[in-house]
Amino acid sequence: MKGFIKKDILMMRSNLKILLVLFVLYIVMDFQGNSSLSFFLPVCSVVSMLSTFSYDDYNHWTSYAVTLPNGRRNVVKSKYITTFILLFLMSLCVGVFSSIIYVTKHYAINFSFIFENLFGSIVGALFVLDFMYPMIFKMGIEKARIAIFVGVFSIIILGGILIKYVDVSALSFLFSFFHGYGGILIFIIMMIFLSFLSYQISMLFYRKKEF
Amino acid sequence: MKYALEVKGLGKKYDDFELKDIHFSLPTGMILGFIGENGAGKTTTIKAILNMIQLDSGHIKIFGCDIKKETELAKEEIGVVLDDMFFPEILTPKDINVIMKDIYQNWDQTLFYQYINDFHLPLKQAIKTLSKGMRKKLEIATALSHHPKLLILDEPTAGLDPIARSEVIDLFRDFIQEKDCSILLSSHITTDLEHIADYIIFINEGTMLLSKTCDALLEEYGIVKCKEKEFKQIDKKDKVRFRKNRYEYEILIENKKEFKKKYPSSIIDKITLEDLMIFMLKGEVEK
Repeated sequence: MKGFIKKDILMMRSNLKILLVLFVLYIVMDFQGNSSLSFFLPVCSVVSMLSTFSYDDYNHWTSYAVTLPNGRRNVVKSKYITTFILLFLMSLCVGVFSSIIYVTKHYAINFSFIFENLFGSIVGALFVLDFMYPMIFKMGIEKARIAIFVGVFSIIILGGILIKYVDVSALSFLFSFFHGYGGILIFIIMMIFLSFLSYQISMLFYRKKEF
Repeated sequence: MKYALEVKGLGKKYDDFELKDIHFSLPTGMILGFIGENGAGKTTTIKAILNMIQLDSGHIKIFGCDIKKETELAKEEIGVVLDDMFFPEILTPKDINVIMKDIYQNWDQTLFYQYINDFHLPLKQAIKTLSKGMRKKLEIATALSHHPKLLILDEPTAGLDPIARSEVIDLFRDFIQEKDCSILLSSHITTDLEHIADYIIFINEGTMLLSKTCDALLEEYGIVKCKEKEFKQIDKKDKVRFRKNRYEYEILIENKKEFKKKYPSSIIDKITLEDLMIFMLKGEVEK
């Protein structure tokens, strides 16, 4: 499986320049107080991972990979592990540079704020990717993109309807439930469960897929 | 006899195409050539062998292992070149080495670099910058560099110029010299198969039309050219297929020796696999 992970990481080299430009842009925006550097993480991790799927599909790598030892299993497994590696590395970069921004501005470093922002970003990125992967493995990246667009659009419309007709303030107890370190722990457990579920569904689709 | 590959009663049905009862065995140390026109079922058969599609019926064994039960064992022993399926084109040959050494237990980095060198391939250039022929050579180098015992090749010489084709064919010949190595090769370029194949399978519309040794096919089959008067004198059952052109008839015959005995004045031309393919697909059967 190491080979499959290496393949994805080597492919991301082609995005490195644009990622660096975006990273610098986010640093400038964070410095000016217009945005948080942590927003870089969900945006760029999702874009980077999806681009690996696009390249795979374009050259029919997934069909070729099935002919390699443990191909079917490793194609799926490696995408999830590469995602975790990418999120870890990006978190490290964002964490370090967020601290540097604090120091440059002569503020005391607010580790808890940086951690909460980073944590929220990781949860957001993982949620999106865990939701997308089974669809990509089932339909391929092109069709999955359309399905994801329809899904996101439906969620926005439903959200709009919910806000208009339901008293959202009544749901505030839900937010208090997730507050503090207990809430973080609940989120971690939820994300582990979601990733595991997403992986199992992806494997189920991919095991039966014909090329 | 030891077999590298055994295919029995292979069947697969799609909405618009059906593969019916494909059966053959490839003894170790031999080359089996797969011929047929586009859409005949060659690639579907190869996909079935590689477990890329689910079978409706039949059994496939690679080195005695049932591919449904022991797929992964067999894959270490197989080298594959597929039509239009390979690594993402932003990677380089050097990247392929980095990746493959963690995929195959027997990956031989020295051998891979030797092929890259022999084929004059750039090591650090993205695949997308390579010509079609160079890409094909890279695919072949990749397929050979983990010392496989069985090569499964779908159109491996497509896109190569005659010199490169000859180099690749020589490479396959060298490969087969090694102990117990075998090749299943599907190709439109039938002259390549004439040079190296031991067995030929001819497939059309998902059904096997012919399965014989290449030598037997080329020795037993022949073409007789004659005028209409002579054509009518030849027994119907001696004509496998015939084609009528402006001035004469061309008849595909199955047993040259018997035919010569029966019609001593006839002149029998040698046949090529391409002739055979054209006659079998485009020729008429006398009613």
